[in-house]
Amino acid sequence: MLGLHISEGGENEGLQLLDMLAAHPNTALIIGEKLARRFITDRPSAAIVTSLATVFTESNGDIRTILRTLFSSEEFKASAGQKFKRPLDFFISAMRVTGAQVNLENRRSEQIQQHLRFMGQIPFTWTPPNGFPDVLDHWSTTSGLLARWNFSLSLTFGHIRGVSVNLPALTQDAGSAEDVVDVLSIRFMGDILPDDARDILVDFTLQNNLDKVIPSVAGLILGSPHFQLR
Amino acid sequence: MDTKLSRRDFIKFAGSLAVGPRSGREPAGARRPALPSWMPRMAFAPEGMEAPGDILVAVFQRGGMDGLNAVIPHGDENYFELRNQLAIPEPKTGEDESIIDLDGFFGLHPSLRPLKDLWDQKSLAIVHAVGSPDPTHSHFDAMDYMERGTPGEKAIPTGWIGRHLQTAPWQNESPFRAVGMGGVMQAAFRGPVPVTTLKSIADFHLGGDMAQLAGFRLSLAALYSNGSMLDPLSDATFNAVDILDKIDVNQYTPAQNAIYPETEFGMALKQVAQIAKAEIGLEVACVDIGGWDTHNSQGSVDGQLPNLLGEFASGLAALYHDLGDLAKKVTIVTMSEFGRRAQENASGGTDHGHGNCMFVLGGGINGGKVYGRWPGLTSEQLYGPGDLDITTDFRDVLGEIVEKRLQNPVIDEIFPGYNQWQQLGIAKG
Repeated sequence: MLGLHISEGGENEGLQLLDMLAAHPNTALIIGEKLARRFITDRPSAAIVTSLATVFTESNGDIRTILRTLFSSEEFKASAGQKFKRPLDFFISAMRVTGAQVNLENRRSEQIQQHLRFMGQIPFTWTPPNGFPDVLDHWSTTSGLLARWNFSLSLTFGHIRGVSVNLPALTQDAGSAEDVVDVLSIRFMGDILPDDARDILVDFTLQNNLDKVIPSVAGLILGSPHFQLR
Repeated sequence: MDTKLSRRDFIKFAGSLAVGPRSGREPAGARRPALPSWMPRMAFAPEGMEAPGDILVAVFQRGGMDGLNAVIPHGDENYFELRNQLAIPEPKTGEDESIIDLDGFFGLHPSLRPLKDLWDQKSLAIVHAVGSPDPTHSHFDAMDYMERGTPGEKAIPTGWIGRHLQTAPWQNESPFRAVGMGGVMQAAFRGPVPVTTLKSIADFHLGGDMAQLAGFRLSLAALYSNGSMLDPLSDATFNAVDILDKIDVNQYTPAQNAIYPETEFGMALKQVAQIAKAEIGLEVACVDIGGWDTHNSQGSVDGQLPNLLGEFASGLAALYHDLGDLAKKVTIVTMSEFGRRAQENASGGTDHGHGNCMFVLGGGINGGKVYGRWPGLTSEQLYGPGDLDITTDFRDVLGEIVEKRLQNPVIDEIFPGYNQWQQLGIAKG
């Protein structure tokens, strides 16, 4: 195996093989690249990949040390807005920021499965051994984007059986269209939206009855390009 | 009205409002056009610049089909030696569960019976001992090479269909020029030409509160017009929604009593037929069918593989019949990443192999013939660990279709680095 002779030794043969693979220099590079792609950008620079690989080798694969290096890098600091959330990331983040309460019979939901299927990612269904792709090119599909929009609306309108969101509770102190947009943006995105996007949402809110428009505004924010990116 | 909206968005939105009410019920059995009569024919290219050739439907059988039990070389006695449990009985007239003879040497698995009519009317051609010359037994690499169209080479990032669309000497701005069924874009499409992926036409619309929908949609389009990297994707999505809104999905009745299997594959093919008939600019559709990785209990005349072959054949036959006259301008080609070991394994299955067979179907195909040189099945004739050898490169098949049926002459750019062309004569033109 890779030029190494593994002598007979029962279970130890497997352990020896795993040790050898873990210590292989390409393993450090692949792990470095995967982490950089996950947390920084689809096409990370060779510099950051090499530096993560070096830390991997020197720390004997200590994940804390490697991630500390990654999170304190300049590349990571500059990475906001560069990653397209994968469908599952998008789904989980939307459920989390809306404070969705899940109450399912038998802990199963055909509807949630259906939404994830349309978005394109049901956990544990990627057959090849390389894991779900982690790049925009794979996930940026028309049917996938439409599915995200429809999921956003289903969620904010309370149309998913067993899943409820309490939008009135999130917006109870908001008395104006601007307030509604800002309160929801801060809740969903951590900040008010850039002026151009904020203006579009405020105009939309003003064109409708403030009592009835909140699910649509929330759906727009979840469906916006800002919420698709990380 | 928000003054920040671009003119383009306004036009797009106004266009979407122009959709009139659905026409009322029509008498049962009336031939319904795919598009309501009030809708003008859509033009996606200047006059004289439209795609001149066929629509291509490329079917990928993922997992590695056992070509030796699909199109069986019953004239090669070694087949019956290598396949013990899995052998299909030799052709006998009138017997349902025996090989359906094609030419005295090859025969179809009985589950492929729906394809026999198409063979008899010379619309179906088969290529055997065909495949990708790279020796890999990894599904992942083999599929990747086949979809790139560059066996053994991963330096070129695009797929063969993507390069065909990119280099075609005609114009087509339709969002349905290239359609990937199943919701994920097939790797063969990779390239600069946008691809619409579809799970289901019926679900391809925007939900939400109907009273607020128009404004919602306008605002969403505006949010995606501020320079985000996702803006082009959003444009394509809205365009696709608008066009599909005009196809009457629920009223669709396949022509010539074609019956599609009630499976994801069957539904995908049915929607390809709908899109093709709607004349909304379709040039290439990719459809996947999985489940071919039959390492255990694959079944001889009944079971796993026979069921899958039945679904595959009835789906293709339904598509061909449903297309009716349009089938003259459609070419369907099937491929799988590799074949399977000639000798069955101890678990009643077959392991990853090399050579396989491809089906080519269409009005422009010289059918009723099995193409390719048969390499034989003796141990000296088998390839590597005991696989069917490859005597025809899959690029010969695809290249001839691209050149003669799709009428794109720049094969060198579609299959770069390939210089051992052999013309099989499988396509007219």
